[in-house]
Amino acid sequence: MNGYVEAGYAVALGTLGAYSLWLLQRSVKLKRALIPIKVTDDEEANPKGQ
Amino acid sequence: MRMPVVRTIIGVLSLVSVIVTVILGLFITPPDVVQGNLARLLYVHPPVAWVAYLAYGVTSLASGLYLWKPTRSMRWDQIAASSAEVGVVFTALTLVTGSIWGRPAWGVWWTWDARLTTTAILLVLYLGYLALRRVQVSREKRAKRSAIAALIAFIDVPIVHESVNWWRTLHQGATVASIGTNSKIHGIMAWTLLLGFIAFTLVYVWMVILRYEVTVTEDAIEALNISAWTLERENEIGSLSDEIAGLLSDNKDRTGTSSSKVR
Repeated sequence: MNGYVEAGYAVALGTLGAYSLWLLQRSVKLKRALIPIKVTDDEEANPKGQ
Repeated sequence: MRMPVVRTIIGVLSLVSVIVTVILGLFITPPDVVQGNLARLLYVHPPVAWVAYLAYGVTSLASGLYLWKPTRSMRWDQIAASSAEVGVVFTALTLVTGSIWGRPAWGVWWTWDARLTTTAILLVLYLGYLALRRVQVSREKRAKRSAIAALIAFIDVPIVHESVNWWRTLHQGATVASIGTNSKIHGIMAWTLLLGFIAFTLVYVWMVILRYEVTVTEDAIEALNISAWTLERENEIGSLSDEIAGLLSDNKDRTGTSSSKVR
Protein backbone atom coordinates (compact mmCIF):
# COMPACT_ATOMS: atom_id res chain seq x y z
CA MET A 1 0.00 0.00 0.00
CA ASN A 2 1.05 3.63 -0.24
CA GLY A 3 1.04 5.00 3.29
CA TYR A 4 -2.06 7.15 2.72
CA VAL A 5 -4.37 4.16 3.24
CA GLU A 6 -2.68 3.18 6.49
CA ALA A 7 -2.72 6.80 7.65
CA GLY A 8 -6.45 7.09 6.89
CA TYR A 9 -7.29 3.94 8.84
CA ALA A 10 -5.01 4.96 11.70
CA VAL A 11 -6.59 8.42 11.99
CA ALA A 12 -10.13 7.03 11.90
CA LEU A 13 -9.55 4.21 14.36
CA GLY A 14 -7.27 6.29 16.58
CA THR A 15 -9.74 9.16 16.87
CA LEU A 16 -12.71 6.90 17.55
CA GLY A 17 -10.67 4.87 20.05
CA ALA A 18 -9.46 7.98 21.88
CA TYR A 19 -12.96 9.47 22.03
CA SER A 20 -14.38 6.14 23.29
CA LEU A 21 -11.73 5.95 26.03
CA TRP A 22 -12.44 9.55 27.06
CA LEU A 23 -16.17 8.80 27.25
CA LEU A 24 -15.63 5.61 29.28
CA GLN A 25 -13.24 7.35 31.67
CA ARG A 26 -15.65 10.28 32.14
CA SER A 27 -18.56 7.90 32.68
CA VAL A 28 -16.69 6.00 35.42
CA LYS A 29 -15.48 9.21 37.12
CA LEU A 30 -18.95 10.77 37.17
CA LYS A 31 -20.58 7.59 38.45
CA ARG A 32 -18.03 7.49 41.28
CA ALA A 33 -18.82 11.12 42.09
CA LEU A 34 -22.47 10.23 42.58
CA ILE A 35 -21.98 7.20 44.86
CA PRO A 36 -23.82 8.02 48.11
CA ILE A 37 -21.53 7.95 51.15
CA LYS A 38 -22.56 7.68 54.78
CA VAL A 39 -22.24 11.04 56.51
CA THR A 40 -22.27 11.15 60.30
CA ASP A 41 -23.75 14.16 61.99
CA ASP A 42 -21.07 16.55 63.26
CA GLU A 43 -22.70 16.82 66.68
CA GLU A 44 -22.96 13.05 66.97
CA ALA A 45 -19.39 12.38 65.83
CA ASN A 46 -17.86 15.24 67.72
CA PRO A 47 -19.86 16.15 70.86
CA LYS A 48 -19.73 19.71 72.14
CA GLY A 49 -16.45 20.71 73.64
CA GLN A 50 -14.62 17.59 72.42
CA MET B 1 -33.23 -5.27 29.24
CA ARG B 2 -31.23 -2.67 31.18
CA MET B 3 -29.43 0.13 29.32
CA PRO B 4 -25.83 -0.83 30.35
CA VAL B 5 -26.47 -4.39 29.08
CA VAL B 6 -27.79 -3.09 25.73
CA ARG B 7 -24.81 -0.71 25.53
CA THR B 8 -22.35 -3.54 26.20
CA ILE B 9 -23.94 -5.78 23.54
CA ILE B 10 -23.86 -2.95 20.96
CA GLY B 11 -20.28 -2.15 22.00
CA VAL B 12 -19.10 -5.71 21.41
CA LEU B 13 -20.97 -5.92 18.08
CA SER B 14 -19.52 -2.63 16.89
CA LEU B 15 -15.98 -3.62 17.88
CA VAL B 16 -16.24 -6.97 16.07
CA SER B 17 -17.77 -5.41 12.95
CA VAL B 18 -15.11 -2.65 12.82
CA ILE B 19 -12.32 -5.25 13.15
CA VAL B 20 -13.86 -7.35 10.33
CA THR B 21 -14.26 -4.24 8.15
CA VAL B 22 -10.60 -3.31 8.68
CA ILE B 23 -9.39 -6.84 7.88
CA LEU B 24 -11.57 -7.03 4.75
CA GLY B 25 -10.76 -3.47 3.71
CA LEU B 26 -7.01 -3.67 4.16
CA PHE B 27 -6.16 -7.29 3.35
CA ILE B 28 -8.95 -9.23 1.67
CA THR B 29 -10.55 -6.94 -0.92
CA PRO B 30 -8.70 -6.55 -4.22
CA PRO B 31 -7.22 -3.19 -5.28
CA ASP B 32 -9.41 -1.07 -7.57
CA VAL B 33 -8.70 -1.05 -11.34
CA VAL B 34 -8.41 2.74 -11.46
CA GLN B 35 -7.49 3.82 -7.92
CA GLY B 36 -5.45 0.80 -6.88
CA ASN B 37 -4.99 0.46 -3.10
CA LEU B 38 -6.26 3.98 -2.50
CA ALA B 39 -9.81 2.68 -2.95
CA ARG B 40 -9.41 0.92 0.42
CA LEU B 41 -9.94 4.28 2.11
CA LEU B 42 -13.46 4.29 0.70
CA TYR B 43 -14.49 1.53 3.13
CA VAL B 44 -14.05 4.15 5.85
CA HIS B 45 -14.74 7.59 4.35
CA PRO B 46 -18.36 7.22 3.06
CA PRO B 47 -19.55 5.27 6.19
CA VAL B 48 -18.06 7.95 8.47
CA ALA B 49 -19.77 10.68 6.39
CA TRP B 50 -23.08 8.78 6.58
CA VAL B 51 -22.83 8.61 10.38
CA ALA B 52 -22.31 12.39 10.51
CA TYR B 53 -25.57 12.88 8.56
CA LEU B 54 -27.32 10.36 10.81
CA ALA B 55 -26.06 12.07 13.97
CA TYR B 56 -27.33 15.47 12.88
CA GLY B 57 -30.63 13.92 11.78
CA VAL B 58 -31.08 12.48 15.28
CA THR B 59 -30.07 15.81 16.84
CA SER B 60 -32.67 17.65 14.74
CA LEU B 61 -35.39 15.11 15.47
CA ALA B 62 -34.71 15.24 19.22
CA SER B 63 -34.55 19.06 19.09
CA GLY B 64 -37.90 19.18 17.28
CA LEU B 65 -39.42 16.86 19.89
CA TYR B 66 -38.07 19.14 22.64
CA LEU B 67 -39.53 22.25 21.02
CA TRP B 68 -42.92 20.63 20.46
CA LYS B 69 -44.81 21.22 23.71
CA PRO B 70 -46.67 17.86 23.97
CA THR B 71 -43.35 15.93 23.86
CA ARG B 72 -41.15 18.48 25.67
CA SER B 73 -38.70 16.73 27.97
CA MET B 74 -35.10 17.35 29.02
CA ARG B 75 -34.39 13.83 27.79
CA TRP B 76 -34.74 15.03 24.14
CA ASP B 77 -32.34 17.87 24.81
CA GLN B 78 -29.81 15.45 26.30
CA ILE B 79 -30.16 13.07 23.32
CA ALA B 80 -29.73 16.00 20.88
CA ALA B 81 -26.57 17.16 22.66
CA SER B 82 -25.08 13.65 22.81
CA SER B 83 -25.75 12.97 19.14
CA ALA B 84 -24.36 16.35 18.06
CA GLU B 85 -21.08 15.80 19.89
CA VAL B 86 -20.62 12.37 18.31
CA GLY B 87 -21.62 13.91 14.96
CA VAL B 88 -18.86 16.50 15.28
CA VAL B 89 -16.27 13.74 15.81
CA PHE B 90 -17.51 11.92 12.70
CA THR B 91 -17.64 15.12 10.60
CA ALA B 92 -14.04 15.91 11.53
CA LEU B 93 -13.11 12.34 10.55
CA THR B 94 -14.97 12.75 7.24
CA LEU B 95 -12.87 15.80 6.42
CA VAL B 96 -9.58 14.24 7.52
CA THR B 97 -10.06 10.87 5.78
CA GLY B 98 -11.29 12.71 2.67
CA SER B 99 -8.23 14.91 2.74
CA ILE B 100 -5.89 11.91 3.09
CA TRP B 101 -7.61 10.33 0.09
CA GLY B 102 -7.57 13.62 -1.85
CA ARG B 103 -3.80 14.20 -1.61
CA PRO B 104 -2.77 11.24 -3.83
CA ALA B 105 -5.99 11.26 -5.90
CA TRP B 106 -6.34 15.00 -6.65
CA GLY B 107 -2.85 16.18 -5.76
CA VAL B 108 -4.04 18.50 -2.98
CA TRP B 109 -4.89 18.09 0.70
CA TRP B 110 -7.68 20.64 0.44
CA THR B 111 -9.58 22.50 -2.25
CA TRP B 112 -12.53 24.87 -1.98
CA ASP B 113 -14.77 22.38 -3.71
CA ALA B 114 -18.53 22.64 -2.98
CA ARG B 115 -18.75 19.30 -1.10
CA LEU B 116 -15.66 19.98 1.00
CA THR B 117 -16.62 23.57 1.77
CA THR B 118 -20.20 22.78 2.78
CA THR B 119 -18.91 19.91 4.98
CA ALA B 120 -16.45 22.27 6.66
CA ILE B 121 -19.32 24.73 7.23
CA LEU B 122 -21.33 21.86 8.74
CA LEU B 123 -18.52 21.15 11.20
CA VAL B 124 -18.29 24.82 12.19
CA LEU B 125 -22.08 25.07 12.61
CA TYR B 126 -22.22 22.12 15.02
CA LEU B 127 -19.12 23.30 16.88
CA GLY B 128 -21.08 26.51 17.34
CA TYR B 129 -24.02 24.46 18.60
CA LEU B 130 -21.77 22.78 21.19
CA ALA B 131 -20.32 26.18 22.18
CA LEU B 132 -23.85 27.54 22.61
CA ARG B 133 -24.57 24.72 25.04
CA ARG B 134 -21.68 25.89 27.25
CA VAL B 135 -23.25 29.32 27.82
CA GLN B 136 -24.22 29.65 31.48
CA VAL B 137 -28.00 30.06 31.48
CA SER B 138 -30.85 28.04 32.97
CA ARG B 139 -31.25 24.48 31.65
CA GLU B 140 -34.59 25.31 30.02
CA LYS B 141 -33.27 28.36 28.24
CA ARG B 142 -30.18 26.46 27.09
CA ALA B 143 -32.30 23.58 25.77
CA LYS B 144 -34.61 25.90 23.84
CA ARG B 145 -31.81 27.96 22.28
CA SER B 146 -29.83 24.83 21.37
CA ALA B 147 -32.85 23.15 19.80
CA ILE B 148 -33.48 26.16 17.55
CA ALA B 149 -29.76 26.33 16.64
CA ALA B 150 -29.71 22.60 15.82
CA LEU B 151 -32.67 22.94 13.47
CA ILE B 152 -31.06 25.90 11.70
CA ALA B 153 -27.71 24.07 11.38
CA PHE B 154 -29.43 21.02 9.89
CA ILE B 155 -30.33 23.06 6.79
CA ASP B 156 -26.72 22.49 5.69
CA VAL B 157 -27.05 18.67 5.65
CA PRO B 158 -29.16 18.41 2.45
CA ILE B 159 -26.96 21.13 0.92
CA VAL B 160 -23.85 18.99 1.63
CA HIS B 161 -25.55 15.93 0.15
CA GLU B 162 -26.80 17.69 -2.97
CA SER B 163 -23.69 19.84 -3.48
CA VAL B 164 -22.24 17.33 -5.97
CA ASN B 165 -25.40 17.65 -8.09
CA TRP B 166 -26.00 21.38 -7.73
CA TRP B 167 -22.47 22.54 -8.50
CA ARG B 168 -19.67 21.38 -10.77
CA THR B 169 -17.35 19.82 -8.20
CA LEU B 170 -14.15 17.86 -7.98
CA HIS B 171 -15.78 15.47 -5.55
CA GLN B 172 -17.42 12.51 -7.22
CA GLY B 173 -21.20 12.14 -7.33
CA ALA B 174 -23.30 9.54 -5.53
CA THR B 175 -21.97 6.03 -6.09
CA VAL B 176 -23.17 4.20 -3.02
CA ALA B 177 -26.76 5.42 -3.36
CA SER B 178 -27.01 3.59 -6.66
CA ILE B 179 -26.37 0.14 -5.12
CA GLY B 180 -29.24 -2.19 -5.99
CA THR B 181 -30.36 -0.21 -9.01
CA ASN B 182 -27.34 0.61 -11.11
CA SER B 183 -24.49 -0.40 -8.85
CA LYS B 184 -20.99 0.69 -9.75
CA ILE B 185 -19.45 -1.46 -7.01
CA HIS B 186 -19.78 -5.20 -6.82
CA GLY B 187 -18.65 -8.40 -5.17
CA ILE B 188 -16.64 -8.36 -1.96
CA MET B 189 -15.97 -4.63 -2.34
CA ALA B 190 -19.68 -3.83 -2.08
CA TRP B 191 -20.13 -6.16 0.90
CA THR B 192 -17.14 -4.65 2.69
CA LEU B 193 -18.54 -1.18 2.12
CA LEU B 194 -21.93 -2.29 3.40
CA LEU B 195 -20.29 -3.82 6.48
CA GLY B 196 -18.43 -0.54 6.98
CA PHE B 197 -21.74 1.32 7.04
CA ILE B 198 -23.17 -1.13 9.59
CA ALA B 199 -20.01 -1.11 11.74
CA PHE B 200 -19.71 2.66 12.00
CA THR B 201 -23.47 3.02 12.58
CA LEU B 202 -23.13 0.58 15.51
CA VAL B 203 -20.16 2.60 16.81
CA TYR B 204 -22.32 5.72 16.61
CA VAL B 205 -25.20 4.08 18.52
CA TRP B 206 -22.81 2.86 21.23
CA MET B 207 -21.18 6.28 21.56
CA VAL B 208 -24.50 8.12 21.74
CA ILE B 209 -25.81 5.80 24.48
CA LEU B 210 -22.62 6.29 26.50
CA ARG B 211 -22.56 10.07 25.88
CA TYR B 212 -26.23 10.27 26.87
CA GLU B 213 -25.50 8.48 30.17
CA VAL B 214 -22.61 10.87 30.82
CA THR B 215 -24.81 13.91 30.00
CA VAL B 216 -27.56 12.72 32.36
CA THR B 217 -25.01 12.26 35.17
CA GLU B 218 -23.42 15.66 34.45
CA ASP B 219 -26.84 17.32 34.62
CA ALA B 220 -27.62 15.51 37.89
CA ILE B 221 -24.33 16.72 39.41
CA GLU B 222 -25.01 20.25 38.15
CA ALA B 223 -28.47 20.16 39.75
CA LEU B 224 -26.97 18.84 43.01
CA ASN B 225 -24.38 21.60 43.05
CA ILE B 226 -27.06 24.20 42.47
CA SER B 227 -29.25 22.80 45.24
CA ALA B 228 -26.24 22.61 47.61
CA TRP B 229 -25.40 26.22 46.75
CA THR B 230 -29.02 27.31 47.26
CA LEU B 231 -29.13 25.52 50.62
CA GLU B 232 -25.91 27.21 51.68
CA ARG B 233 -27.28 30.66 50.72
CA GLU B 234 -30.58 29.91 52.48
CA ASN B 235 -28.70 28.94 55.64
CA GLU B 236 -26.64 32.12 55.40
CA ILE B 237 -29.79 34.20 54.96
CA GLY B 238 -31.43 32.29 57.83
CA SER B 239 -28.56 32.94 60.23
CA LEU B 240 -28.39 36.58 59.12
CA SER B 241 -32.10 37.12 59.75
CA ASP B 242 -31.74 35.43 63.19
CA GLU B 243 -28.88 37.78 63.96
CA ILE B 244 -30.90 40.82 62.84
CA ALA B 245 -33.93 39.64 64.86
CA GLY B 246 -31.66 39.21 67.92
CA LEU B 247 -30.17 42.68 67.47
CA LEU B 248 -33.62 44.19 67.02
CA SER B 249 -34.98 42.55 70.20
CA ASP B 250 -31.86 43.66 72.17
CA ASN B 251 -32.37 47.17 70.93
CA LYS B 252 -36.07 47.03 71.85
CA ASP B 253 -35.23 45.82 75.38
CA ARG B 254 -32.69 48.61 75.82
CA THR B 255 -35.11 51.26 74.55
CA GLY B 256 -37.86 49.86 76.81
CA THR B 257 -35.57 50.04 79.88
CA SER B 258 -34.38 53.55 79.11
CA SER B 259 -37.91 54.82 78.45
CA SER B 260 -39.12 53.36 81.81
CA LYS B 261 -36.20 55.12 83.48
CA VAL B 262 -37.25 58.43 81.90
CA ARG B 263 -40.80 57.92 83.11
